[in-house]
Amino acid sequence: MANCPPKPPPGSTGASTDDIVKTILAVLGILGTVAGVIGAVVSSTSVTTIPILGITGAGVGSIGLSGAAAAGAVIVTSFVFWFDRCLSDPDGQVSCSAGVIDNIEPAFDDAASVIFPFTVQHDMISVVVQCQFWPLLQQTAGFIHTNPTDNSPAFHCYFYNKAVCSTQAGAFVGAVVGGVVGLVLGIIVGAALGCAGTGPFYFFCLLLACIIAAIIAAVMALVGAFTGGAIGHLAGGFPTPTTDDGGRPSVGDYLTTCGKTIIYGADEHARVYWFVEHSALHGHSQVGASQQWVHADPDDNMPADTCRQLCPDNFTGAQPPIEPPR
Amino acid sequence: MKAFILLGQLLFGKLPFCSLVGGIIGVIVGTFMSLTQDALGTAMPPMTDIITRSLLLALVAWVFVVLLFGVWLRYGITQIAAPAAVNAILTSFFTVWFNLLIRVAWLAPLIGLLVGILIGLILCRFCRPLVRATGRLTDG
Repeated sequence: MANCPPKPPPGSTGASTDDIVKTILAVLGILGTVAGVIGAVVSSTSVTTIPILGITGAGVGSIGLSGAAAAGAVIVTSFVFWFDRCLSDPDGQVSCSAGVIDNIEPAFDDAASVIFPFTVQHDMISVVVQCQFWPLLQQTAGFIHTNPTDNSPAFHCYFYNKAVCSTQAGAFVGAVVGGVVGLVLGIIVGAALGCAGTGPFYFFCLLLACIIAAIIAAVMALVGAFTGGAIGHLAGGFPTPTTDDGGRPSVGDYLTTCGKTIIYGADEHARVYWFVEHSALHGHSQVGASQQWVHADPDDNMPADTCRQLCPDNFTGAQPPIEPPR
Repeated sequence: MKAFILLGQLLFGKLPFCSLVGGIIGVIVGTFMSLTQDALGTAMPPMTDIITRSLLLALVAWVFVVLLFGVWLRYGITQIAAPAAVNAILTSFFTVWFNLLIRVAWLAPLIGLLVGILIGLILCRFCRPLVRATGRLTDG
């Protein structure tokens, strides 16, 4: 049995909601205010013509701004996901750890990733790590993922998948194209309601026209994102996570990973690999069901120095550093 | 984009989950109010009209947050739908009502944001923690 440091408490160690939501809220707040300011400046409820489209009707200014805000919301949301998954280059520290795989979440493995391709995430392999790596996992983390068997801490290891990024790029471009088409369609349909007059009825009719225009613009932007994402996915191919020697990790395998670790805002502020750069398999766990996904399994049945072999410069476990050659 | 991420962290970094849901609902309702409330003139509509409009806007905002949190962010529709409906109805009603009292169209989205955050803060006291589809916990 390994000499283990204190076990980190499972779950949240503080506020840990998604950073993506906070960014979307900030952008939507600004987007809504900009639409409101433009609407106030041009008195959008009184605008009766959009010359560039040749559309006339009471309140088309407000109808157009509603459609633009809705399409903008979908486009911005799509971009926020793309930025999070592919464009940002967060600061982190190069680390190494080892353990047994307790879960694999492949990219494109659920319906939402296909229907709304801008939400697709890179391949994630969850590893119940040897206890010598608990201090690394816990370091400045806002959340500790654990396996429910005995709350053994688990590292989420994200493997870069180029198809995810081509899908995200395609979805964003598709959302822009679909959003523009949807905006025009939304204004035409909203104006066709023919709201006119003043007072509560006109207010209600205009509100309905604005909502209809917004829904059409948003749906068309989503259709565009779906189409663009599908094209991007085809262009990116269908890669799966592999280790340095070409092996395919599966649940129950012993795995050593090395790469940049970050505190990831879209994964509860847990410390995760973003991304794994080197990895190696060391056979398959043979323990019984009751001992599966417990840190004692890799502690007892896996070599303790796999990191020193895979990434000697980034060794982050409890053993002493490598002796320099004499 | 990094500026928006920093802004989101700065303004909303410490808010609980329900406040973020409420804030998004408030912004959506406020934006629609901002673009249409001038059509009403100066008259205050009867309470039945206010309720009808706020329910209509609550429905639109609820669909968006269920899509965003339930599907896109993988919290699951069944977990989000009912609490978000309560949040949407309350936030929408108070956003519509406050905006009809204040009548500054361009401020409506920000008023909605504040109303949603406050209602979310109150509702969070009654919520149990959410579990993501992947088994992850989050506060609120």
